[in-house]
Amino acid sequence: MSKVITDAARALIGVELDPVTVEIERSDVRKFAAAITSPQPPNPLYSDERYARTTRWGGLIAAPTMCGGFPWLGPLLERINPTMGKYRVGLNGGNEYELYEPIRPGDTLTARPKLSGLDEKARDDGGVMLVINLEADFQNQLGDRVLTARQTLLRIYGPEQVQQEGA
Amino acid sequence: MMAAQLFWEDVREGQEVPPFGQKVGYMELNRFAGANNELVPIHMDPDYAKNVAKLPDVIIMGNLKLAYIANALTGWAGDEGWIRKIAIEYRKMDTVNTIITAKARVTKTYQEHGKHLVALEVWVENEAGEVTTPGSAVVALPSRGG
Repeated sequence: MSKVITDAARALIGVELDPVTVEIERSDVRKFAAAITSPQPPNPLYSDERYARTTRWGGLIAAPTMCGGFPWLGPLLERINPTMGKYRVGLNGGNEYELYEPIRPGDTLTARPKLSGLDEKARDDGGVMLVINLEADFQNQLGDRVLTARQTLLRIYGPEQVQQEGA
Repeated sequence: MMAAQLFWEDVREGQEVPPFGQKVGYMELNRFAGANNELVPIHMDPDYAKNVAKLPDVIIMGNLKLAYIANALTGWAGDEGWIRKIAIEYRKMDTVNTIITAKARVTKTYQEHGKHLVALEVWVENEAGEVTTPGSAVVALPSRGG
């Protein structure tokens, strides 16, 4: 018996949303590169065009986990959130990325994100931990598949929030 | 910046990757929050983290821990290496102003569809040496055979 997962939420599993577009700006690639090593210097593959041109990649590429900031979760959560009640705290449960081709400055990526699963687990305090699995396949402007992103979100509902949902 | 290129033939099961670790303060968190579009109060506001979210303190973003693991892998694999897959679970929280260290160990070398691949166990450790963030990765490397 689900305490927080509603039928309306379950009905969204597997439904692909309208495409999300991500434009890859050179300055964003460089800022991300700086942020993941700061205060140490960035990897020149992601930050130094001149250097990157001398490598097998032929120019700047995005750091492999830059996709973690792509705005594909928002549209999904806008659909999912109204179907379930208020929670105490949301946490990142895990990420999985399959990287097929480099993402480069100037690329325009598109994805059709979907909710791939919902699960809930009882907590010792009488609350519930909700597990939300989300997925998106990204293509670039050439039609090449560049990335599959999978995201697990955890939401902790306190006992009082579970009671409200059950009411 | 990179050392000599690593080749697939030089990798052995059990080999450890040079770690990437450092102290993560508010400067690192806020810089990453901006770069990763992750402006969330549990990663920047101690009052909110402790009193509203009921967490021990401001916590380090999972995505930053993941990026540190990727740094360890890319530093080891060199410019011609490619992270083909990476999967991470955030099992325990890491809090602001602590040292976290990303590590990796080779579990298998294999070939698939003409690619020379290395499977690794990857993780982030806290200052006490506890694994907070376990996972796995697959890295493609160049082969001496071309």
